[in-house]
Amino acid sequence: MDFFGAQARARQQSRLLSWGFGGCVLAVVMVLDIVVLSALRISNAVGEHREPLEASLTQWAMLHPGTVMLVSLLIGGFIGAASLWRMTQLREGGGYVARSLGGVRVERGTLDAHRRMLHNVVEEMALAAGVPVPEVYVLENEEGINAFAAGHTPANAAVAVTRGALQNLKREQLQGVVAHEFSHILNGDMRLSMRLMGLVFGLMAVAVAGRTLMRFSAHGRRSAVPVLMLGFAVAAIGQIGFWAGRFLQAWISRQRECLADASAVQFTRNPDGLRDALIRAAALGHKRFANTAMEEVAHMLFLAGSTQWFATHPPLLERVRALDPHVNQAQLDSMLRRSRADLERRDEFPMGEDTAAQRPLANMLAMQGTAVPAAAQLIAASAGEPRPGHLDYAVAVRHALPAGLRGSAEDSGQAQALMLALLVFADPAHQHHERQLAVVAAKSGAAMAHRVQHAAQAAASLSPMLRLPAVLQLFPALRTLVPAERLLFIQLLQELMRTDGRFSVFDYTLEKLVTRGLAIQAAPREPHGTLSLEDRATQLGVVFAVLARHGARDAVQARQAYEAGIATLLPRNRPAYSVIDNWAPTFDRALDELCALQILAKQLLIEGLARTIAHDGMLTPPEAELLRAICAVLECPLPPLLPDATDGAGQE
Amino acid sequence: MALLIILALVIVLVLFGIGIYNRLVTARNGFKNAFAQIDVQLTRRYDLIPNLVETARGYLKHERETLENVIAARNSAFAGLKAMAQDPGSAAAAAQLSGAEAGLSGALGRLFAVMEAYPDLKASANMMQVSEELTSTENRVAFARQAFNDAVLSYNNSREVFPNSLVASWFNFEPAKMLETPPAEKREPPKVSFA
Repeated sequence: MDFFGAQARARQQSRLLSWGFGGCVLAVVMVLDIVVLSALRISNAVGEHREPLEASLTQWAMLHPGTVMLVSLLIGGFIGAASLWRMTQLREGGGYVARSLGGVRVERGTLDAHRRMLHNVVEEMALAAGVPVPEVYVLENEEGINAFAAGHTPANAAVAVTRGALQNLKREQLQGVVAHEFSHILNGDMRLSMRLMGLVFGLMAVAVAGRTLMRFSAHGRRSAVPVLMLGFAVAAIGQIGFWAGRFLQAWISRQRECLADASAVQFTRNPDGLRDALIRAAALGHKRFANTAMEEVAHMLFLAGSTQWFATHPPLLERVRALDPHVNQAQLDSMLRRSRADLERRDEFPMGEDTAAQRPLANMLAMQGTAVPAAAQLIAASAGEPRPGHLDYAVAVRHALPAGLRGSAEDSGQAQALMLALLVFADPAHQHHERQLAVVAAKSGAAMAHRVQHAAQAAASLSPMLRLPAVLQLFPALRTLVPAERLLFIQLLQELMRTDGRFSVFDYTLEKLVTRGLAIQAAPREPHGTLSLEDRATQLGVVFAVLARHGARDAVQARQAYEAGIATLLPRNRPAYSVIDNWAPTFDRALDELCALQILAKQLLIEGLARTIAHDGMLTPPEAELLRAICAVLECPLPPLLPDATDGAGQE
Repeated sequence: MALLIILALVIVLVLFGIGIYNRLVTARNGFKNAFAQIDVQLTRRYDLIPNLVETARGYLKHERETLENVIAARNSAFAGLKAMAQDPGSAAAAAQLSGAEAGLSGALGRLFAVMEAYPDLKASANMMQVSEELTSTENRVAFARQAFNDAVLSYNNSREVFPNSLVASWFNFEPAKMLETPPAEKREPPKVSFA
């Protein structure tokens, strides 16, 4: 495919068509002019002035240049005003459009594999197209394969894809779809189509005005017939102009789609990905949009249902042939059949759960607050494979976090402020807020202290179960800090912890996560060693004892939880349970020494820890935090821990 | 009267020239920014690779050599980038960097091929994440280069067409050069052994 040539042709065509569109609007104005002026002339002739009717319309117009100007201005002004009114309605940024169509924002650091891939693909395409990374949305309620771009400048653009696209497209196909949308952003199609929509609306307003005039004539008795005729003429002209405008708008839109397909190939250099995405989308069928407002953005979609004349998108065969000239109708049909069979096979293993399940989960997270029910096998299984439930969990956590605490992937300053606010205010163990804020002000300036203060309310009222997710979602933004900034930030966090004097589990976890997550150099040593569990029995005892004590209500229960966990690791010789005073340094040393365990031993260790946690059937915030810290130090990846109730599917 | 017409013509010409000049400057800044993007993406890749390889290490115990090759290639490419940063004009540094870069791409390509050979592993969620991040990193570097080349093409086009070429030569708009990937390294297929 000669994508530069194809782009040039599409650009030229749509420029011509835009002129045609302008001409169409002008023609409507002129014809209306003639109609209104004729009406005026006749009414003048029959009125008091008694002007002779012999002169032709042109001659009459020459005699009354002021009237002609005034009428033209009024008609033009009317269409213009209606168009402007509609355009201001469409003026909202892309994010607004996406949200109003039911889009859920995808953040850079999302834990869901599909959404992470989507965000990566969008960032890649932003690079290829040379535009800023737009906001990314998923339309959770749309099952078909589709996508759209919205917003009228690259700076406030948003890209949204349907859930169906996320689930059914392979990476390079998704890339093709996203690249197509980027072309709409880059080529200013949003602005163009906004103008066209505005003008089409202006023409429609003419038709509506004509109809109103007709209805008005029915009420007024006198001189009803001329007004009726005038109204009919205006309505007819407006309607014809409207259809012509719609027709041209659709034609322009089809040219912009060709342009977008060609640009998508320029960005991805992979026509096959886009071709397969088109076929796959067609094979899945044109599901009607669950959200009817979706029709509003029809011209910005990736694929649209077609009615021949007013189709906003070229026919499938034409688009596929532009990408791959060897394809004919028969081949296309067989490709569609194959794709359909492929999709049916996938249906037997549905990936996504019903998103309706997210809301209750989010509410549960927000309300329950102190602890969630947990079963050992679930936590342990989590350490291996994230299941569909986890995908929903990531979304649910975002729903549950108050807006003030949701970090944005672009703003590392805000992420720092939020992290500091969480440290200072989220843990009720800390009471010396003023002194800590003073430290922030001294180290990072008054502006930062102010931002921290700003988030204080939200952080203080955060349910304890959400502290950790709130911290974790800030990391992608924090990783954009340069090494020197990272170092300063870590030092600031550590100083804040010292300022308070009390050292909570949350502090400990935060410190571990930050020092590991923002490490400037990759750990020079091997993350996993060769030792077996027996070699590190003492250290295991320490870790289990600390975890058991933080999860249990009393000493007896703690001892039972301890035994429940460690017995599976060390069936014969194991250290007895003992309460460790000033746990942090001992625990820290023990963890460091456990790093030398084999990876399989670590897996067993996490299973054992899960048993200890689940001994009383509840996962408390300190338990979740300690487990996260342990996994961070041992370099074992751990997906979010799921509450038991929502994940029956995991238990066979 | 004639004077006025000439004056008007001159003003139109000057305005026209200013327009061309501004377009050329925009195009030049466009490809310069695209070059900065490559730098950003390369650095990002160097930062990311050690972490990803560390994650992969737990799963690919028998592929120690492949992983070590990746790390070694990463280190030499990183050194190359540093040398390049110290002496941006040096042709030797540029050659060293592009060689090291190609080596890194090749090493990563072999890692992907190795991962293909373990279907179970590929299905593991963590490994899927690692491979997604690696794929994305590689794509970013490739797309940043491609965007740079596209920007260079459009700059050179607008520099060379008439009458822009006049303005370009008066104001010394140098032709820009595209980045090329060393063909030998790029074409080399990844080696997979099923011994």
